[in-house]
Amino acid sequence: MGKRYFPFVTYFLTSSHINKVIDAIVDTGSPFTVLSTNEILGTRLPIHTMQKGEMVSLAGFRFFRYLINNVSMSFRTDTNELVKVQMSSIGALIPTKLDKVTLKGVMSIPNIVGHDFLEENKVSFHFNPCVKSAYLEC
Amino acid sequence: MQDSEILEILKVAEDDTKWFSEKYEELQSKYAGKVVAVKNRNVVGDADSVDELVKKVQEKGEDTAYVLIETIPGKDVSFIL
Repeated sequence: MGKRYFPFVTYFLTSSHINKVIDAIVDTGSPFTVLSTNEILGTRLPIHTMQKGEMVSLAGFRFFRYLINNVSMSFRTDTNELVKVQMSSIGALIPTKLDKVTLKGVMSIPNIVGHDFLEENKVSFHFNPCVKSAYLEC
Repeated sequence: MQDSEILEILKVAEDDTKWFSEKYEELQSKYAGKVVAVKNRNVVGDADSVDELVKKVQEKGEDTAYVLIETIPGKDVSFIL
């Protein structure tokens, strides 16, 4: 039986095409902040009008990283205040192959907050699995 | 959208994320291999694909922008990023 060990963070994403609450894993091993294929399929994001970024490989699959430009990410602090940070762009992961097998395979790949977010916004990430603690600090 | 509205949405979503993590094993028993939508500590829809899930959730009058969409891997699968 699986467990959900990963450090997740919840934020509200705002851009010209999308307003959505997002649950994402903080992955310091990822250079990019991205929305998963599942998340993209759940929105009406006009992928065909967006700039296609470089190809990325993740969990054995290959994706085009489409760019969602000028986004705002809102976080709730532990004192119930809103902190908004801007990103020049985040990625939308679209598999290079769009067949049923691939779409099924990428279903479990989560949204990711990568180290571009931490670096651009001078945010540090604290994670202590021993006490089940994870938080971001500006 | 007003900051107060975003704060409220985040408060609900964070609580739902916490609930989802706490109930993960129980939910995995029931929804292994499915995509689920979570709101207010409830699974408000489940399906084999996101397209199908979005239709189900919208038919229930929920706005998919404000629900968490989570995938639950099969019981025999551990996910390593």
